[in-house]
Amino acid sequence: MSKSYRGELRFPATSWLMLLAFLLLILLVGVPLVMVLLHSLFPDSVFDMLAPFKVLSNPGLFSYFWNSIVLGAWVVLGSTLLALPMAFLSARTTIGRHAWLDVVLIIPFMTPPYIGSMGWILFMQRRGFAEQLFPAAAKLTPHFFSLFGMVAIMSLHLFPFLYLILRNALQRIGGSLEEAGSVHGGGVFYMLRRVVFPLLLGSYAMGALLIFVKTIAEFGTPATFGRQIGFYVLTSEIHRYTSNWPIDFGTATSLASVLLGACLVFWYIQNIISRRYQYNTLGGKGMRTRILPLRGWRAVLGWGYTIGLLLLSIAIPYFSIIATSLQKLRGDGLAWHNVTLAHYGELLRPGSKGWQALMNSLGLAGIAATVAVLIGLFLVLQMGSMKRWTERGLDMLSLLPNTVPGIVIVVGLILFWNAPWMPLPIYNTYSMVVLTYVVFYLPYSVQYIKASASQIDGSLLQAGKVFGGKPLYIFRRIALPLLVPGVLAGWMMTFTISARELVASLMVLPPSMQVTATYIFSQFEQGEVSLGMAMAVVSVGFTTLVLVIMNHLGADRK
Amino acid sequence: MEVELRGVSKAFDGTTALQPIDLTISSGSFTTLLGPSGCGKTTLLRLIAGLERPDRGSIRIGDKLVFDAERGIYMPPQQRELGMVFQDFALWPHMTVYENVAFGLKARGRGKEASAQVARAIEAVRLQGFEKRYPHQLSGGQQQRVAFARSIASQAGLILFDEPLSALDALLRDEMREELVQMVRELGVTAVYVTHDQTEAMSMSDTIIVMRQGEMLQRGKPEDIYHTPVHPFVARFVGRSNWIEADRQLVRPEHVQWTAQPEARTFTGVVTRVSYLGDRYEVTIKLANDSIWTAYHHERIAIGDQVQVAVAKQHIHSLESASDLEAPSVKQEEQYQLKEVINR
Repeated sequence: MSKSYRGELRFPATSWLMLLAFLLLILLVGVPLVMVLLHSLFPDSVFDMLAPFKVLSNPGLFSYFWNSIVLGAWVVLGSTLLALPMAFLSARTTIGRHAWLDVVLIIPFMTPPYIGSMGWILFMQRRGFAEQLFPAAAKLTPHFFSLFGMVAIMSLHLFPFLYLILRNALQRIGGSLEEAGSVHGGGVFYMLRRVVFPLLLGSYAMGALLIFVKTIAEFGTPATFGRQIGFYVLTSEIHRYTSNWPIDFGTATSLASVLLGACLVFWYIQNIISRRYQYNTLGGKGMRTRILPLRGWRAVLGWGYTIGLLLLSIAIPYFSIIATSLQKLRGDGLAWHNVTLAHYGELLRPGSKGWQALMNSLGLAGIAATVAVLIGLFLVLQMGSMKRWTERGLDMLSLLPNTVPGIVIVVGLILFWNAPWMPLPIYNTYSMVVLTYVVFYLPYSVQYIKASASQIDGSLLQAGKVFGGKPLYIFRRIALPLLVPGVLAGWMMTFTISARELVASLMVLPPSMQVTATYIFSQFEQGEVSLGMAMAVVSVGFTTLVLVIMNHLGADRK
Repeated sequence: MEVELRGVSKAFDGTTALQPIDLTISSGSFTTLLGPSGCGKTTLLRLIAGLERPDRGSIRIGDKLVFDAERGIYMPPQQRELGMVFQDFALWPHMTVYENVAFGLKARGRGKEASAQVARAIEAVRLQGFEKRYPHQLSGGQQQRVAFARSIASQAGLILFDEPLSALDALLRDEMREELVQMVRELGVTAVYVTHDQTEAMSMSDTIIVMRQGEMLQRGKPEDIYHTPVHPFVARFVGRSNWIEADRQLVRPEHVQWTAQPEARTFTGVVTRVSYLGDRYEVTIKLANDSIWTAYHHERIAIGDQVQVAVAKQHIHSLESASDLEAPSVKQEEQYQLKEVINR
């Protein structure tokens, strides 16, 4: 008899706290998004149902929308071309035995996209590293500054995501399903067509749509590379209308509504597909996947592809960034006599602008991460067993910021907290930045803590009761220690990505204040590129270090 | 520690889990609640523990009235001072063996006596030297022992067992069964044990309570339950039953003779199946009235043989007032036959 008695993980079990949780989320997430929609429906303080669509009838504005869609489609194609062979190599050949590959292949995804784009720009631009290393490349590099280059950069950033999905799907399909196919007389191509692709399709469609949504919501690459080549998309233009003269919040909110709508539509499609076409291909028994041994030309081809991919997605951008950060004079090019650590010295000199930006970033990220895990912990404890609609609603609402493009949330937060009737004067202060980070990354805390909570079997808490623990004692001695890994993971993720966040920082930082992301951005646009790149190295390096340390500590606990 | 339930009943979302029940479990006894899934045995145990709240009735543990619906008394599990061994052990994964066992003492503010009591409990389950290990570093049997040590550490007079052996493999289960009974007897505590395994129930208990659909069908010593069942369901659920008259008269397989003594009743039938068990043959016979019997023989009989079997009068057990009891539905009957097949 295996009844499971769940849903005891609620502390304390009172309903006014549930109400508080809803109020909190509505205030943090719900109202700002509604403000965006309302603002776009009342363009000149007059209600106009069709206002967001009118924006699209303006050919100039429509082109932004269309560019976003086109970009999304190309990036899906680009990521597929990059990810599919890699997924196959990793799932079905001996290359997959190298576990480090999985870690390394996550690096592009963990690199902030604006930093990756800068790396590519530095590599490909006139008199860039490509030309310095291979003078013949000068003929080709100008062609990189086109839609092709932008698609390439974004695909190289996003493909790991699709790779993981496809690889897992390929592994799940397992050898026996294919063996069954071949025993029953299918040839290789027949089997690919009739067995492997259909089973893969559900996962692929899901991954592709996620890539699409992530692409149209992306800000970093359009803001750096896109502007340079004159390819304007929704996100970059929303930013322009809200921060450059002439400021036009009406147009910005309309564009934001359009972006929000597009994302929600694609999320919805993704949801339908994943429900309908997900096969339960994972058997309960141990899986035997057929592993292809790689020999001769196959080994050359397989490893050639893997190394090529790592070169393009990691080596080139990071080489450009690190090399630039070490150059005395950028005009002198790659030479040993041109190497200096002076830029790092300048950044790490207490009191310098770079140092202040760095400290601001770490401080803000630390506060934001702490607030986010506290709120996340509180929310997860209210979600209890996720059986009641209130509990599920709470869950959905708390994950909403992950679905909605960051820039839309920022516009909403500005509309709300900068509204003339807003009594709390936090706009243009530190608190506003922390609040924005918290709203952005609350889903991570909730997800990680929820994962920990779901591993706590109800009987562990019941045993606590039977053996005499009072509610607070049980919470302190049993529930909390078991939730700590989730809390730590949530804190670490929030800290890491807050410390690098660009779009929120650009839009809500008080005028005189800088964080690492805005510092890198402004130095790259109009300043000392080497200083900016040194900051990029420090910022990525430091946050990676935090990840590694926390991971290590987490591994010790078990 | 005596446990007394008066008119206790419980329903979940309108579905009856336990019909009103009166029950006294005497101090120092080993009582087993036996029945198939969903019979209410676990619910009954959880009501005693305080993990569920009865709809009606009252529960007394020792001299403490822990629940009374009419007077609105409900003592939470924390205050009932009992021990419990959970089905999946429910050991806290982030605590060492020592911390797990000491929990009950520390939670009740008896931290001072902890080290002595924990040492005693760990010695009782023979796990000395394992105090600093974590549960995941132990084997299934060792985890089981920690769970038991935890339940006895605070010297509760009543220990509840919720199918504690079902998570172990067959060999270990036999071993732990004997060990558990021995340890319970040595401590002299009152034990309430829930299981769906009749072998476990028969070999461990002083008293067995057979339950079905939230109802207590029979209560008695293991021998009484086996030899003189009062309900056809009990006869079917515990041991094999050969029905002379459906739901009224039965004989157990070991009493089916191949040669007729004087005064014995004889029956004829056809052998439909023979399986070799090593020490004997189990023979399935289809009688003329279509009932299926099981008997044991010392040598192989050919399938299809016409045979005559005999049963001494004193081995025929008649169920009293069988007509009052509603016959189990056909579907249920099938289930129990299936169960018998599985249990073989």
